[in-house]
Amino acid sequence: MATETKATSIIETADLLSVGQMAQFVLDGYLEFDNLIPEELNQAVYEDQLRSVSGSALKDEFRWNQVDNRKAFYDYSEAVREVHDLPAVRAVLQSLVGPNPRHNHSACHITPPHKQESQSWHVDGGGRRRMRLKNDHPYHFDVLTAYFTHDVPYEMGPTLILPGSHMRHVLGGDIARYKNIAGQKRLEGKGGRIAFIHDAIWHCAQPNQTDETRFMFKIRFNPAVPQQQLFNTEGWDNQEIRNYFLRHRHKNALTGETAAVGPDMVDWWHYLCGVEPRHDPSGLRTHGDIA
Amino acid sequence: MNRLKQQILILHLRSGDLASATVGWARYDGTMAEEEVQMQAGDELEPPYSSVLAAMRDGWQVIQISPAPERSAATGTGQLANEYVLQRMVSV
Repeated sequence: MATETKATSIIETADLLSVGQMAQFVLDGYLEFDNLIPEELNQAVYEDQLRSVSGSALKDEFRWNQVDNRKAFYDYSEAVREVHDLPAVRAVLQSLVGPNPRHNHSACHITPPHKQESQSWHVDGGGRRRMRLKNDHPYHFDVLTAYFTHDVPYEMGPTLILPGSHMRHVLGGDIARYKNIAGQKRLEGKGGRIAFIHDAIWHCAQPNQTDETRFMFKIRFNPAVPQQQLFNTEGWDNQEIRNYFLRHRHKNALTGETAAVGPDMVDWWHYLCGVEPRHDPSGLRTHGDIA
Repeated sequence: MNRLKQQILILHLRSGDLASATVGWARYDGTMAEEEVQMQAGDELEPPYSSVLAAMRDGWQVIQISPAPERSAATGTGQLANEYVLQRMVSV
């Protein structure tokens, strides 16, 4: 059942994402932070996670939660609720999905040591546009948070994502044929990190080649408002932003998509910033106005 | 008596030119036993061949070429384009 995240304080504009950070999200489809969560609180969440396993196996009393309760760990761990109620975390969420987003579901993913198989490439739900219900706004997106309490080096197999793939339109498992793709990125790094990921990004879980259990806690958030002017839009069309999109226009292109994705991205940027769409009498959307 | 078994290699190239750079690759190996681990999503950082032509030079046969993509800014993008399916028959 969807529940609303409780708002306990007002987010200051200065804490919201900047245009530079938002432009990075638009380009890559995710943002990652390692400085939002105090270490003591992060450790408390990790200890709650460790209590749910015995050796490398999930304890029986937690097993039912994964099936019957789609937010079981969130309900179980006061510390993890506290993490997602931190003003710094909520400021990022508010910038992406607005105030009081719905907590659609959450899960504590537990990967035992020496698991050899990857999950197949997939998209949660559907693609960004055509696969949605007809009443959904074309620029609607959900956000998936991926919270890593402990260090997750490359060989421990943190979530694999394909930056920029949120601009593609595919259905959930239709990309399972693919195995390795240029630009794929494991979200490796130190403990206490949280990534905010566009729901249409291609991703999959990775093998764990270490002796340690890997934890990743995720929440899917649905916006409750139109996703316009939710971040700090000051400077939305300054030269730095224009240069950013220009400089990186081929960054995530793989098989010749730049000419299609570029204008699409710019239209989305205009929508996010709450400004009028570009006027292009040719109808081709191929002119050089990149921001 | 030896039997022929099939290996499939799926390559995605940057453009429709068979000499252009590989940007996606997947291998399905019929010579591997069921308990062996096939290529997994995300398990390689470098492609086995720099292009389809390079794979052909090593003995792989192209058995399917994707149609040239028809797309525009209005239709957006979905799956990877420029897909080539190659096979190699191996005596085991």
